Amino acid sequence: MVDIQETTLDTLEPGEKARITKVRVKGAARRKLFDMGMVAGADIELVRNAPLGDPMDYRIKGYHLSIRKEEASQIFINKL
Amino acid sequence: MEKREIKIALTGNPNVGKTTLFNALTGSRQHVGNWPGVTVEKKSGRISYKEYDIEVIDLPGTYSLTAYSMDEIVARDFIIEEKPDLVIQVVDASNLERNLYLTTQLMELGSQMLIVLNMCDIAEERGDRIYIDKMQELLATPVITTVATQKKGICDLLDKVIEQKQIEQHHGHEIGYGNEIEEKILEIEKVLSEDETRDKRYPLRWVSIRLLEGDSNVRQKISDSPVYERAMAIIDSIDQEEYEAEIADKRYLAINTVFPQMCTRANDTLTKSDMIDRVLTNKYLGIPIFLALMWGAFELTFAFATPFMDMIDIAATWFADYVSSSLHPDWLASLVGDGIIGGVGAVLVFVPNIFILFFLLSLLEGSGYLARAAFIMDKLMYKIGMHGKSFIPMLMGFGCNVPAIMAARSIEDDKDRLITILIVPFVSCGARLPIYVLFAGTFFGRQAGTVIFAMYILGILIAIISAKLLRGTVVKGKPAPFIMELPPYRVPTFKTSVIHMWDNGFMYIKKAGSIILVGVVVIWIMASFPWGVEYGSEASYVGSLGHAVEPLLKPLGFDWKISVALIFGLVAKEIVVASMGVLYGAGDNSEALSERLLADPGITALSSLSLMAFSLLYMPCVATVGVIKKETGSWKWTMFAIIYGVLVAWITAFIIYQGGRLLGY
Amino acid sequence: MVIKGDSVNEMPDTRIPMIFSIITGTLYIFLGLLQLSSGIGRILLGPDVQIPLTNILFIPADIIGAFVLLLIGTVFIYGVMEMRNGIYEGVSYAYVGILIALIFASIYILVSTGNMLEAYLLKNEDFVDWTLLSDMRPGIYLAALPLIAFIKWKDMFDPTPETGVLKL
Repeated sequence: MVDIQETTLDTLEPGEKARITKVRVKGAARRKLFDMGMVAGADIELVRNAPLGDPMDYRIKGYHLSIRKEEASQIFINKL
Repeated sequence: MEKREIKIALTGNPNVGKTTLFNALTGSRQHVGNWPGVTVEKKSGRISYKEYDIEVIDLPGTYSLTAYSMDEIVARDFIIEEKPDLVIQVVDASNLERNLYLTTQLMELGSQMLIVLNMCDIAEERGDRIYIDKMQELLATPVITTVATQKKGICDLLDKVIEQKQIEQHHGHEIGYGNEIEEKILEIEKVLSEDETRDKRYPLRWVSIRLLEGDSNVRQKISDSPVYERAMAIIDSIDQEEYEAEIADKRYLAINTVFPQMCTRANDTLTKSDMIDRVLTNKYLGIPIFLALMWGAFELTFAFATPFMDMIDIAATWFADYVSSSLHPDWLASLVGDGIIGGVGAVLVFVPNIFILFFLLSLLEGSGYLARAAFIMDKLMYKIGMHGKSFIPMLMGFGCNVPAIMAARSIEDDKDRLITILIVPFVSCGARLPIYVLFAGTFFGRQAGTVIFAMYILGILIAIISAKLLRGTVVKGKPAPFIMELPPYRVPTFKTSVIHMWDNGFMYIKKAGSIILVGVVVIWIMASFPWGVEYGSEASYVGSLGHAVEPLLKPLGFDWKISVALIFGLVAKEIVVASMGVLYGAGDNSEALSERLLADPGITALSSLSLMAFSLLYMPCVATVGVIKKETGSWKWTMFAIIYGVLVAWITAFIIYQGGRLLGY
Repeated sequence: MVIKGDSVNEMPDTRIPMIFSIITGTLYIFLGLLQLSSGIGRILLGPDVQIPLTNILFIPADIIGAFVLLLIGTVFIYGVMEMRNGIYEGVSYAYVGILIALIFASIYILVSTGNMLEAYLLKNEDFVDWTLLSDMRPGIYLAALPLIAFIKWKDMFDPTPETGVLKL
């Protein structure tokens, strides 16, 4: 068994997968993230970083979603 | 026989082929305008099919119907208030799960629905299987498959629309949100239902759910209801963020319970789109490729447009001459010839640029690269207080500020967009180059290139400083969060791009045109009166105005002649050079003008530097003012742009001129 | 990196796109360097000095264009490096390289069409000496190679292994 550790989304490496546990983002971004499928229980994978390192390109629910590290650091995940 | 009317609304996520379907349905019979009160584009069209007259309204593409953006509010208000006979959701078959999220919300609105499954080819190619029958059954909504790019299935779709129209009643499909939330929903529904004066078009359950989610737009809608306080008391008793998360969770849960039965998704295979992205967003190659492509777009927008601009110029000149020589009395000939045709011609010259630019922007957007451009540049832009999406408009500004400001439409967040619109005029456009060439060439000889380059840098610096300054003062707050889909790459459809180009090109001519017309007439009156004076000479009103503002501009090193030239430059900045020619009696001859400028003790190298900086930064030309008004929809911000520009220009020129003098130049 | 989780042995053959990328990439880089030196030479030595070969190869003294050529070449060569390391996705670079090469060739041809309008239709005096060959440049004629590849491999760049193998 793999040790499941809670961490934040911005710590994923390209190619790594995780499951979202909690979205702690506040304000309007919070609802937008929900709308885009970033809800607890969803599987997510970091595809790559932008050439300058930020934002990040994630694959979630079969499509590509890009968010900044700032928001990613407030989304909690368990690495898979 | 009288045709029967059907009103249908087209909705769906962005990038699902909604516009292509709309174009396939309505062809050229479209009407483009804005939704009342907002700058969101409204498109509608009509089709005659069998014994029906079908009106199609293309709602803005949205991921959801929460009040995150103006687009979403416009879309849901239309569905609720106008009650279209049928709401058609265009669904991307290759991205079914997320698309169904919008479906759940549309169902809550209680509208009669139809799902159009688009891009089945892409889904199939990827190995996905979608079971249409099962889908219809589970969603209790008819599902039609089309490939909108091939016009296939359009007739099937229309037949189905008519069939649905005949079935009057439909059964609602509700999502259960779990005991706790459902209790609260009932509580709020009960309170709200006591208000007999409420807007009955809004379903109670929907309003209650939106309130629990903290939707400020809905909250405002019921704010004058007598039961408002009581409803709010319930809302205040809950942990709203928890509810918001829980409601979204439940919607996805509802999707997840039906989804596996209607679709089996292939394992995540490598797609063509992933292959392209591997290169285009590559750590080392991504930025160089982006810059090269932007340079290419730039080259096309401005180099390819040149012959067409020349044609318009020749036509306008010929027409102005023809009118001047054939119209009587003289003042009318001069007004129409010199003033209106000359002035409007000077601005119409930009139309080829605008058409090409919009065509290319539409290609970039349709191909999916526009999203990558924002993705690539976001970090840099964020550092100066802006959003990644602001980069392309700013870059376009180097060609012409007018299409650049129009390109800012792709920015959803109002504040981000406003800042972009306000700082684009500081980006040195092509029309300012002749001014630099004249003065730098005359006064700086071998250093001319460096001086011109410095002007471009100055413009960029002022734009960056302004962005920071505006963020700290009048447009407070951080740039909107970057939460953006990177849609799969696609071959853009030519037809969609052409339609986009026409729509926006004509919008520019129509809307900006009227303001430009007023601008040029005012300038003409000032240059021609009192009647009988030579056009734009010292004795005319503009000459007097030049003398009047001279004391204000004296500290910058400008005399009345330069002041007059700057006033003319308001029509289009390159006119500064032409009017200097008139004022110095050198006409079109640039060498003669250079000599006379050098001989004039009123202009020194230092004051010419100050002048170049001033013409770069002062009030944007009338065409730009026209689009600023049109795009912000506000005279307040338009005036702000003008006053702010003049102030910045004055201060910068003052620092250059007085600083230079202090240093002994 | 393996497609569809199959074993490494089934990785499609990348030899042909590799050879193609080497040839095309080298050509673009070589002509890019020539064009760059021609452009820099124009600035440093004045317009009278001719870099050898620039005349017969229709190389303009255009530095930005030179960077575009170098960039396209680099994309091809970058792909070669990945393919050599056994990464199938390296063919992506050949694919995108072909697309970018074709995009720029089209841009140059369109701009040239504009110049043609200036010369023949508007009779602009700045374009009296203009002929069809005036705008000929490596960015246009080099694109013949990617064009052939594009037509020949139109459906071959599908990433699924069944069709992903590039055949001549």
